[in-house]
Amino acid sequence: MATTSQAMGAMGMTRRPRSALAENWSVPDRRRMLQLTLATAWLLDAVLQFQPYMFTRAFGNRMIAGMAVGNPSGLAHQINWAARTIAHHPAASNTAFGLVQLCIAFGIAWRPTLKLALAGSVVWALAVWWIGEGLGGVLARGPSPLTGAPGAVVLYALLAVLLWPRDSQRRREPAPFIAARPLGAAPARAAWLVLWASLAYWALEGVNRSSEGLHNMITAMAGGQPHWLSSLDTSVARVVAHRGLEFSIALAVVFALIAAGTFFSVTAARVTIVVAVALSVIIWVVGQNFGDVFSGSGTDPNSAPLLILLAAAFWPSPGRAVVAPERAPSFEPVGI
Amino acid sequence: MLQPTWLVDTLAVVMIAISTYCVARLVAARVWGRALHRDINVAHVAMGTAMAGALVAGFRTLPDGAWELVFGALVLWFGASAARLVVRPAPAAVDTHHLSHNLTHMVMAGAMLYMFMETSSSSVAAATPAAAMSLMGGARGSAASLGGLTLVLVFILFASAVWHFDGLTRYTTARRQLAPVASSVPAHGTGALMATAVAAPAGATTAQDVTMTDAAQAEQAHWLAPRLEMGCHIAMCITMGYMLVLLL
Repeated sequence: MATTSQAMGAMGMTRRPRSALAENWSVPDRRRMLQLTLATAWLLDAVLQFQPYMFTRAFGNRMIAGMAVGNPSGLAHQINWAARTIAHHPAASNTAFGLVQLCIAFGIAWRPTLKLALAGSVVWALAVWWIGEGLGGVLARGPSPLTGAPGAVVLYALLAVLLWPRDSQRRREPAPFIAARPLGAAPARAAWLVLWASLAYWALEGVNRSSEGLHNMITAMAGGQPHWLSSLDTSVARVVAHRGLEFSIALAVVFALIAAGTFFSVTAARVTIVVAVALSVIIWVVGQNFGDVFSGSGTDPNSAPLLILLAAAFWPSPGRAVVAPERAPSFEPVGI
Repeated sequence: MLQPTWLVDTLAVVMIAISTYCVARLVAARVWGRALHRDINVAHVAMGTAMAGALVAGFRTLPDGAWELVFGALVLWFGASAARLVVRPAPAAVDTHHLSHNLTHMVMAGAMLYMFMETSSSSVAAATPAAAMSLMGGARGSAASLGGLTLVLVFILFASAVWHFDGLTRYTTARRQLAPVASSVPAHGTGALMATAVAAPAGATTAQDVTMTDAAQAEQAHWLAPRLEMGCHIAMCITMGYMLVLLL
C-alpha cells in the first residue's frame, strides 16, 4: 500500500503542508496593525458615503457648496463648480466616491496592493481636502481645531506617508517610533510638530479666542444630535460661556506641549502621547460630536480618531520597532 | 429618506447567496467528512437570511420576534464557547484562534439582536427593518437609542472585516503552490493537485492514480476553502455595519 506522499516522493515531488499556508506570510506587526486601523477608518468612510442623504442633491448643494463659505474666491469658485456637478449627478458621483474609498480600504488591507492603495489614498485625500473640505478651512477665518481643522482627510494622507511600508536605509539604530520607519525620526517629528503647533495657533486665532467663541461653536453642534449628546454639549457650552479666551489659551498651551512632546525623553514623550490621545477623545466627543455621524450626514468620523492613530504611530518603542515580525503560528485552517 | 433600491437589493442578494453557500458548505463537509466550524456556518446562514429579509421585504422569512430568539440563542452559544476556552485553555495558538472567532460571532449575533430590537420597538412604520432604520435616522437625528453602542459595533465589525481581508493572503491556492512541480508531471489534471494530505487508495502507486485521487480532494478543498468562508464573513460584516450605520 502506498500513500500519497510516497507516490509523490517517487515522482520527485514534495508533499505540501495540509494547511496550504503562504510561506512568506507573517503575523501583523505594530505598523501593520496601524495600517489595518487606517483601512478600518477608510472602510467606515466608505460606508458612511452610502448613507441615503449622500444620494440626494443636498450632498452637493448643501454639504459640498457649504465648504466654499469663507474661503478665497478662487477656491470658492472651484468648490461651487464641484458642488454643482455632484448635485447634477448625485447617485453616480456618490457611488463613485464610495467605491473609491472602499477600494482604498481593501487595498490597504490586501498586502499585495498596500503601496498602491496608500499612494492612491494620498492623491484622493488631497483632492477631497481641496474640493470637499475647502482645504479644511485653513484659508478661511478662524478654523477651529475643535471642529476638525486642518481637515480630517489631510490626516489620512499624512498617515499614509508615515505608515508607508519601507524602512529608512540611512539609519543603523532601531527606529524610535513607528512613524519614523519610512522617512526617519527627524522628518516624522517635524510633521508632528507642524501639525500640533498649527492646532495651537488656530486655537488662538480669530473668533476662537473671543469670549463666546467656544460657547457658540459647541452650542451650534448640539442641534440634530441624540438627546444624550446634545445635553452633554449644552452642559459643556454652559461651562465655557464667557470664558472663551481662557479656555482657548489653555487649549493652545496643551497643543504646544504636545507638539514638542516627541522631542522629550522617552518617558516624557509617552506622557505627552497619552495627553494627546485623551485630548483627542474629548475633542471627538464634545467638539466634533463623533464626526456628526448621528445626524445621518456625516461623511467621516472627523479628525480626532486620526489624531489618536497618529499618536499611536509616535508611541516611543526603543529597540523594538524594527524587529522582524514573527512567523504565523500554524493551525488547522478549517475556516473562520 | 430611503436608501437607494439597487444598493439594498444587491446586498440582499449577496446575503441570500452567502446563506445558500453556507448551507451547502455544511452539507458538503458532512458528506465528505471534512472539518468545519459548524456553529459559525450555522450563524452565517441565520445572519444572511435575517439580513436579506431586513433589507428586502420579499426575502422576509421569520417574524422579528423569532429572529430575536435565534440571535439571543447565538449570543449565548458563542459567549459560552468563548468562556469554555478561557476556563479550559487549549494550546495557545488554537485557543486564541477559536476565542477570537467566538467573540467576533458573539458580537455579530448581538448586533443582529440589537438591530431587530431597535426596529421592532420603534414607532416608524416601514416595509422592512432597513427602511425603518433609514426613516428613523433621517427623521430624528439618530434612530438608535444607544448611539454610542451602535458606533462601537460598527467599528468592531469593520475591524473584523479588514482583519480577515488581511488574513486572506495567509492562504495560498495550492494550485499555485504546486504549479512548478505539477507542470513537470505529464498526467491529466495535474493543475488540480492540492496541498491536502490524505492516504491514497490501496494500489495507488502510479502518478496517474495519485493525481486522480488528489484531483477529487482538490475539488472538495476548493468548495470548502477557508478563503471562501472568510469572504462570506467579510461581506456579512460590511452589510451588517451598513445596516447599523443606517441606525445612527
